Amino acid sequence: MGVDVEREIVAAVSRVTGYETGDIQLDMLFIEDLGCQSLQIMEIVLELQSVFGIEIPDGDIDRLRSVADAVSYVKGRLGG
Amino acid sequence: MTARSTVAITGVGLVTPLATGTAGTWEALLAGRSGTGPLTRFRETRIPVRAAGEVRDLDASRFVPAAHLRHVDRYGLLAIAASRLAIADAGLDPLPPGAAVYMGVGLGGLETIEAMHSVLEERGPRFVTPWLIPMIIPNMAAGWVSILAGAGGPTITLATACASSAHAVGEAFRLLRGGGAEVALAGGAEAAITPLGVAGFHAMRALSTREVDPARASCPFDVERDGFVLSEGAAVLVLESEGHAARRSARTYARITGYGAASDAFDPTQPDPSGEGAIRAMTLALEDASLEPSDIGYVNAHATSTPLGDRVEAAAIRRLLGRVPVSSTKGATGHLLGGAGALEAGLTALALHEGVLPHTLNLVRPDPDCDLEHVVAKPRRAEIRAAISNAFGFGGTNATLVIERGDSP
Repeated sequence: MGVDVEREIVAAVSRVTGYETGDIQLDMLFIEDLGCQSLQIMEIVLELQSVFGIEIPDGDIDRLRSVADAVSYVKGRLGG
Repeated sequence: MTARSTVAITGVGLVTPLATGTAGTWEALLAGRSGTGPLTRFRETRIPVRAAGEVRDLDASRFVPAAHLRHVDRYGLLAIAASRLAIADAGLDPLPPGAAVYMGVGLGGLETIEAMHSVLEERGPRFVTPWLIPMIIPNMAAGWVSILAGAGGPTITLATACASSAHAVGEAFRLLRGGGAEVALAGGAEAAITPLGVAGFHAMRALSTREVDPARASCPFDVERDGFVLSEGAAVLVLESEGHAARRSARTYARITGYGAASDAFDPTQPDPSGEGAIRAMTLALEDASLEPSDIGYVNAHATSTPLGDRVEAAAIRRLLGRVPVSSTKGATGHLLGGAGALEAGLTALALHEGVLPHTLNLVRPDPDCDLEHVVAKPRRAEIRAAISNAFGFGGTNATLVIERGDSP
């Protein structure tokens, strides 16, 4: 498929956190490593919904602790 | 009787349609340049308003951490920028941890409200940013200023429409004089040049719509005036107790020595034609400063370029103060709403410090009904001791600040 999930997610995280895309590693944790606070987590969720056209139920948000979590979650949602 | 302690203005941060920066704003004002021009922030041809005072050279990334640039409405970005400029100007970084932040805001995050309402309508609630509420609430400018400056004293926002930041400066002055803090950032901000903002003020017929060069549309006290020019921007003053300023040998532009607040108790939007509320605010401020009307050497008028407002204020000034040099810097800046009072208090402080009274730009033919000693055509050199700055707002609220030279305690 045409969408590079990983690149799109790194770009979204960059928009929300202000970090350069080159500085964002897959294993980074949103809160501990990227300094996200609760509203920024919600903002990343909103970005993922927007970019990938999916709806992320509130119950799934706690599973998104790292950039890699987001990538695998979105891949799973798009693939399923 | 011992003189009451006063409050030093040791930093001025201005982000205005004339310039991002205090020196740039002051120089443009004295040079007779206009900050108003064609309205470009949005296109809405159904509203016959062509002029606005837009801040064109704001680089918010200079002042706001990258992670938060998109979490702050434009009005907050302007406030943060002005606060950082003020702190740098005062040479007071870091601030003492108990520093207060008093900000005046008329509307708040109008641009974000409009943008997110469109998102809600067009895409649905789950696309509304979680930052919506923190971006639009009127006290978040003060919140961000406090957070970024490490100011841990009281952080308070006053909303008195176009008098908001005059009240903010006045209330901060009272806080410092009463010993409640030693340092305060006091100012205001507004960013209401949006479709809804302009439509709303135009619906009241408050804005200038005449067919002239938009740089000349704001002409306080002129016979041709037909409404104000909506501007955006922010102004923040660093205020220090006399003791605090003296201990660090701070450069003092001027001192605030009096503050008066009074209401028309008359009408939601129209000034009381008798001018009693304005006269009461000015009288209270003079009494607070232990000055006589004859001590005042300059008035920075609120005069927004509306037919009724300018006339009522002119009559009030004439009745209380007689012949005294008067100007309205809104001829050059347009009307910053919540930012206006602090901007004009800052400009008044600079006038005292520099010994120059700014003129009323675009005042060509003074209205005989605004019979005052206008400062016209060019700035006037004058070493004056004391000045007042007026600000009036919807709701019939009036504020006057008395500002005196920094070197004549």
